[in-house]
Amino acid sequence: MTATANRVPAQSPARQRGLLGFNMLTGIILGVVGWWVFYLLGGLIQGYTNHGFSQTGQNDVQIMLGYLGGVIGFLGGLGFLNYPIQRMMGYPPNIPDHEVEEPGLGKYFRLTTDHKVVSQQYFVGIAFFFFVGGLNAMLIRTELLSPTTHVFGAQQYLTLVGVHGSMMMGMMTSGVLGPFANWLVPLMIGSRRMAFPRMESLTFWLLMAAGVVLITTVFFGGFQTGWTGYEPLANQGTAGYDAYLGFFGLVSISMTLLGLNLAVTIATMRAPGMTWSRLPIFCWSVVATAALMVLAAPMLTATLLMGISDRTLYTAFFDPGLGGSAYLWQNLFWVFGHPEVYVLAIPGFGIVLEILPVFARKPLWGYKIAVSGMLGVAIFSFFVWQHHLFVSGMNADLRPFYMLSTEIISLPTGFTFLAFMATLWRGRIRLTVPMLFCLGWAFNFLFGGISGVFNSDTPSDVTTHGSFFVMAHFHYTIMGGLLFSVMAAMYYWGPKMFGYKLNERLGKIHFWVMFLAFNSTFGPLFAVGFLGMPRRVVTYATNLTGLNDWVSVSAYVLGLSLLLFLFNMVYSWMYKRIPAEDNPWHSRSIEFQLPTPVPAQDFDEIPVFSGDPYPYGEALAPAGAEPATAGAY
Amino acid sequence: MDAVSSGYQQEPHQWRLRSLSAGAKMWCGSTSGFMGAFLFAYFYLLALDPNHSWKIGKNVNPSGGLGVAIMAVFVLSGLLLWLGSRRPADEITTGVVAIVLAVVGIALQFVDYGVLGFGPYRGGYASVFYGWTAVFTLGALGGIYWMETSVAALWRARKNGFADTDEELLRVGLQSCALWWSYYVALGVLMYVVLYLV
Ligand code: HEM
Ligand SMILES: [Cu+2]
Repeated sequence: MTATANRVPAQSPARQRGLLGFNMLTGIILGVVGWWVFYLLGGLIQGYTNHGFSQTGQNDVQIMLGYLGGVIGFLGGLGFLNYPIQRMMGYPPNIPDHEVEEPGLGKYFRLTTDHKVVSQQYFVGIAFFFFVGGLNAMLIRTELLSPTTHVFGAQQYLTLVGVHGSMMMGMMTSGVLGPFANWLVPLMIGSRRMAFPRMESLTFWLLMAAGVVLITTVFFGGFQTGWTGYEPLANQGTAGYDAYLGFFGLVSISMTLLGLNLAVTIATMRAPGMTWSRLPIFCWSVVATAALMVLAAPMLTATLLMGISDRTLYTAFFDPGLGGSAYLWQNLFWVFGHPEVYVLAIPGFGIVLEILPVFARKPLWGYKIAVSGMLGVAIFSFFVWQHHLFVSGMNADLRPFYMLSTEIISLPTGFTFLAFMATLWRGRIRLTVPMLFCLGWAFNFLFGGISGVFNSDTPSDVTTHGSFFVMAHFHYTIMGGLLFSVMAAMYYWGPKMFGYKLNERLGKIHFWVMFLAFNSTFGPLFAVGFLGMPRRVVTYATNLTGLNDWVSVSAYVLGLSLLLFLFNMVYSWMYKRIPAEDNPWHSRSIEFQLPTPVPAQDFDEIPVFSGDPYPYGEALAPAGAEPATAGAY
Repeated sequence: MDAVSSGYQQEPHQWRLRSLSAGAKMWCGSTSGFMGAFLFAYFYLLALDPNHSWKIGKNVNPSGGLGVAIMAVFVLSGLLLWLGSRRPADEITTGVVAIVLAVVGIALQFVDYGVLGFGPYRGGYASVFYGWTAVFTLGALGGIYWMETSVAALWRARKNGFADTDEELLRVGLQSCALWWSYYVALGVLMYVVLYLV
């Protein structure tokens, strides 16, 4: 038995240089071709006519097949079919155990097995669709400047809300694991690669395909359901809803594979000495998140397939007239949906707790408590979903259970806060930009969590449900929580990932503008909700105009603060280009002991780990000095 | 964290083996979530029975005999692959038979669709019936792909007497595939019991 076989070096750099070959351009071309071929074929298939949905007169079979053909063509053009075909012909698995340096920009537009390149692709790709979603938000707030319809009609408004919500939920799901976990995990555990590198790349390109599919909804009349896609409105709606189904279908597959890949990597590929109790806290947050992705996302896939088959195969899962039930969608959606909201929360915990010790110059307080908190949240999140249905016709006897289970989930969440505060306690705090964003995270997420308790309390949810209060709640947790932690991560790891410094002063301005504008936007929405303004309605009571205008103006400033960040990146990385130091924050964690930019192979040799992951203060490493023992790197 | 070089330029061989089998186990978890949604739909619609439309009209019952036959073929396939993956001497033969059986199972499912006599719009039951069996068939196609690649790799490697090939990796690959496939078939048994026999 040879251990060295199959270890071919990464693909030769000379291959696939030009525009011809398997790359994004080919993918797009074949994607368009695939769409038309399948779309035209779909037109030939005649559906049954003895069924209610066919009365809408739209050919969903054709559209769904078009999406399928488009995605297959896109992935095929990127080269994702080559390896599976080779394997079918009996060629053995072939995974390079480390990468080799490849000059040029071509690698960013292709299937690549370098985890660092995939991370960068993720970052840019998600940022693009985030920008699209953000523009939608600005348009929504523009419409809400006045209590009557003035810019968009009701239909268009609802589509804007739906595309905004779906895009953000779908993209931000991978917003940490895509760009950061893919980059950090192989470095932090010393594995030099992900367990399944091609799958890693596939998750990215699937997500990009998904984003495009969602945008195409505008060609088919949009959809009116918001991101939750509730039946029966969904099936009464237009063909634009097919794009929703396709979008979340692709996102759910991407999510499952992303989680699986990360979980397997951490479970089986930790370098010698990297025991579970030495695993950096960020990796633990990835474990908890990945577990949710692996188990919950397939449920969404299944639910969407039911929705698709209702529209194409004339099943009636969600059609009450024919033995189905709209509540079935509501339940299945939230069985997935609540774990999903923790997919959006836990990675933030991980980032913040990872960064905190560096700027408090103290070991992470309560490592085990923090780990059990994150795992606890992950497990509990499967038992609370009906809190979304308190006033949506659920069996009233179930309310107390779900109320309790939801309120109990605040406990493990609290563990994270405990670790957060105790780590700061008597630390030697440096208020760098990443640290500011971590503190901002704590402030915002606290409000998010506390308002969650209002929602989970059935009596008070009767008033808050369906109102802007809920909207404010989840924006505090996701935008105030997750997005702030993503910003912390960008300022902290970004220069290491991309090789150049970010401007510190601009960073501080960005933080303060974003922090204030965020709170000024979403804080008043709690009040707006209490005052009875419902979500997803284009008009509102005239007495709420003042508050709404305030919110809209704040939202524009919030949007500007994100443009400021964009400007900082363009200015620092494309114009100024000051090379980032190897370890600008005097971090003790392993990725900062590597040179900047991190070499293609990560480590020349597999590292051996020893000791605690957060030895700050122990080896007398005062702030501002080189760490006393930096190890071999 | 302190870290020193291990002196190993190549990653431990174990990593590849372990990530394959761990991956297969987690994939079983994902599959459970996926199938669980249909199980949930079945009991939810059965219990709720909106408009008394669980079964609309007469004869919304599939043939139990055909259901048992499909189930038996899949179980045999799973069992054979599982046993064969543990006996290097038979792995190719059992693998090929397991693939053929899976194809037969899918074919029988289509025969079943042909003779059913009720369409998917005939109530909650009919919807779950069609939806669930269809995705099961789709998953079985995925299973066939996985079995085929595992067996084909072993077959090709065997032709060269395992020169230049990592025999252990291929074997663990087949075993991981067998683990998932038998698990999948077990979920299928649950599905057939619920849909055809209950
Ligand atoms: C202490 C923790 C939390 C509690 C007790 C809680 C509770 C709730 C409850 C009861 C609802 C339903 C409200 C209604 O529709 O009437 C809700 C909605 C929501 N929560 Fe939370 N939540 C918590 C944390 C989070 C986190 C961490 C996130 C995401 C990162 C999140 C995201 C959401 C979203 C997106 C919705 C609204 C979904 C929709 O209707 O569109 N929540 N929360
Ligand atoms: Cu929830």
